Order: sequence, then structure tokens, then C-alpha cells
Amino acid sequence: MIEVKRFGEKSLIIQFENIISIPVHQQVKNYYKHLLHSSIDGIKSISPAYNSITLMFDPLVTSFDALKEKVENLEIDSNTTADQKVVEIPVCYDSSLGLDIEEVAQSKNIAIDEIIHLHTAPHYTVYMLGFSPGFMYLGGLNPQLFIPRKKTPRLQIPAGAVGLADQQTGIYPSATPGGWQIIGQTPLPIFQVNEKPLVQMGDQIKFKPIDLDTFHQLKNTK
Amino acid sequence: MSFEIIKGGLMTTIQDGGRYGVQDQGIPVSGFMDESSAQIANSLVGNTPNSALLECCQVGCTIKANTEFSVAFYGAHMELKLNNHIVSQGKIITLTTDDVLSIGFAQKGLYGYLAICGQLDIPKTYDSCATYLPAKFGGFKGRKLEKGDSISIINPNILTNSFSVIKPQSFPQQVVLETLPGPEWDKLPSESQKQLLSSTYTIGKNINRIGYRLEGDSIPLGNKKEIISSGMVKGTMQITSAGIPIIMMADAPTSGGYLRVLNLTERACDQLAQMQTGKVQFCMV
Repeated sequence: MIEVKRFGEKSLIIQFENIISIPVHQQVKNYYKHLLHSSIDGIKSISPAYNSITLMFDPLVTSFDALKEKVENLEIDSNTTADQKVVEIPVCYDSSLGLDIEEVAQSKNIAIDEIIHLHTAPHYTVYMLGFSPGFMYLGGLNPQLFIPRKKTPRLQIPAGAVGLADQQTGIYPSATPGGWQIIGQTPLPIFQVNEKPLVQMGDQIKFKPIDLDTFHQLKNTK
Repeated sequence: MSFEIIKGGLMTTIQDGGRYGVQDQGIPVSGFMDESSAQIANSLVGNTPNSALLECCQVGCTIKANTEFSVAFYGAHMELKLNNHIVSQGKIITLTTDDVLSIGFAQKGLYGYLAICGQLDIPKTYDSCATYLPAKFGGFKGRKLEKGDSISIINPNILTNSFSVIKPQSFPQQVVLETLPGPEWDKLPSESQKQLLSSTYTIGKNINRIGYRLEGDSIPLGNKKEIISSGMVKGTMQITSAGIPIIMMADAPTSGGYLRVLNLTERACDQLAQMQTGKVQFCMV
């Protein structure tokens, strides 16, 4: 069911079934939460992904073989579904912030209001955080909103920009270059150094549409 | 009780043993590029091996002392001058007020480490002083050191009785790097596995604290060119869908989507970090 593989001299990887799915995600989440609360000596870092968990360890305290055995013998309660938090994230879809929303609406032949509706309707699952600090890999985008990345990436996208790329939607946690189709922006700081993270792997998020005035009000109170 | 930066150099940052336990937020480990050199510098001045120090890249910094303290430098072959007199790396150098220590251009190697006897007064970000430039946090105000910056030393100390001298390392232009198989090694066709272990790659322009992109033969991949995004660690070699090997280094993103075919040993990561130019090959340990 799981496979524990060596990953360099001081890490290992727990590999789950090779698909992106809610059941696999739930299993990864159960292992992750269990490992977080277990007190296995020598674990320095636990990093869950779609269908794997990377463990970094201190080779002065433990070894690959010792840790592999402990991980394989963990008793995971597979029925745990508790602590599913839903985080509401306000997003302003005004075209002054959603730089590509008009273009997306045109190329999809869907009215802007309908784009907003399609984007705000689902509860998105936070499969993992990765790539850069605070970046969420979200599942649950309506296929009607699947759209390729921009041919030429923008040199600067503001922090909080909400975008679409292929089958994904996401939020840029900090200002970076990027090729996503930008349809809105959240006034919330998604990643703040030394603050408790806004969302964690396994949470759900829901986008709530706000107007430009509310955006500026919220932005200024943060 | 401080020192001042007179010249920042190319990219001088505060680094330590790295930031752990926050990779589930997408935060990289960061820390020393060449861990063993940094740890030697720290050990020479009696600090614990993973203490925060100054990491110089290619062109070192110049500092002016505002108090008395000992330092030691180790790593890349950068010319060291104390008040314009040449001094050596790998041993204690003691500065008194107004002394100027300059660290020059790396003749060989790339990263040099200046350890200060005593603790640098740098706030911790997620329990580490390491600078992570892409997100502008950690170290000194989340940035590289610049002219005019002043860094306090909490307990500056002078070492008078130290006879430890560590010879500088040699930095050959051709290195065989030791590796372990990565999680997707088996997904690489066997011809490609052989090719990867028999090819010579050149260190090109695309090298930085995040990763080293190698130049050379592209490696043919099988049907599987990408994976479901999964973890990466320092030393992970990914092969891009175009067949180019990239080795992840200290600031590696926590996850990636290309095949992870090899993992360099820690020693190999240190050797690779020091290569400005030159050629590398890979062997399995």
C-alpha cells in the first residue's frame, strides 16, 4: 500500500498510490497528521505532497532502515476525517485586478459574471503546499475554466493574484514572474513570514467575491 | 560590539545549518551551499558547526571591525587581506577596532565562509538565521549584505591559544560526483541510465543557490516525462522533459514535477557547490 524509498543520505520518501485523488489525499493526510504528532526521534521535517511524504532526518540520531521500519509499522486510523477546516478567501474579480478576466471570458465565450460564479462555487481541496512559500496546490476547479497558461509570462505578478493555469487554480503568495491567467486578487496576505499559515494541507478553501471598495478596505486593514 | 560592511561583494549572505520543519508550508531549507567548508570555518573559531556566518559567493565582502574579535575563513580560494597584508584561510585571524579585512575574488572554488568567534546578533526566522533571497526573509533583513550594514556580535571573543590550521581544499576542474539512485531512477530507460552515468557535463552559466543546470548530452526519457508533484531535497537531480539534468541545491523548492533520477551525497553537493566552471561525471556509491 505504501512504499518507503531512500531519498539521498538523510531523507526518505513515503510513496502512495500513483494518482491524484481525494482518497489518496486523505491517506497522505492521515499519515502526515500521525507523523506530526508522533514523537519519532530524528525526524527534522515532514513534507506532504499529492501522493507522497518526504521525511528529512538527522543521520546522527536515526537511520534510513530504522525510520523505514517505524514508518511501515505506523498504525494509521484510516477513518479519520476530522478537522477539515474551510477557509474563506475574499477575491476581487474587478478587471483592474483580474488582468486577464476579460480575455478569459472572451476565449471561453462565458460571461464575466459566470466566470466568477464558476470560480467561487466549489470548495477547493488544498492537496499540498509547495514550490514556493505558501503556494497551494488546489483541486476542484470546474473544467469549464481549464485554460492554457499565457504564452509570454508576466515579469511581475502582485502577491495575492488569483489565477488559472491548465487544470489548476491558485494564488500567488508573493510577487513573482509568472504565466498564469490572472482573474482576480485577494487582499489577504497569503504568506507572512513567522505567522501561522492561513491554510494547511488538507484544508478546504472557498473564494468569496468582493467589490473593489471592499478589496481596498480589507487591504488597508491588513 | 559590531562590524561594518565596507563592500558587500557579489552576494554575501548570512547562512547557517538551515531551516527545518516548515517544508510543509513550501518553505525551502536554505543554509550553507558548501556545508563542510562552513562547518570547518565555524569549528576553527570554536562555534558550533551550524552557527550563522557570512557566506561569500565569487567576490567576497570587506568588513571593518568596531571591536576586537577573532574570525576564520574557509572555502573558495579568495584573497584575504588584513589591513592590506595578505593573510591565509584555515586559521584564526584576530581583528582589533578599525581593522579592515577584505575577501577578494574566488580564484578557485565559488563559496567562501567567514565565521566570527561569538554569536551574530541576527533574528531567527522559523528557528534559523539562513537568508532566503527569493522570498526576502531570514538573515540580515532578508537580503544580501551591502555597504554600510552593521552587524552586532553578541559575545565577541578573541582566541589567542589556537594552533589549528586547516589546509585549503583543492578544487579540481573535473570531478566525479557520488550519487544514490533517486525515487524515479527505475523509470529511466536502461540505456538512459547508462548514458547518464557515462556522460561528462559542463558547469554552465545557470548555477545559483536554487540549483545547478548542467550542459551536455540530453538524456532521452521513456514515456514518463513528469511525475505528480512530489518532494525535493538538496542534491536531488531532476531531468527536465527536454532531458536536461538540474541538481537542486540549498534553496531548492520543496516540490517539483520532473523525474528525480539521482541524489548526490552530501560530499558531492559540497564539491558541486564550489564549481564555478569545470566538468562533472556521476557514479553510484
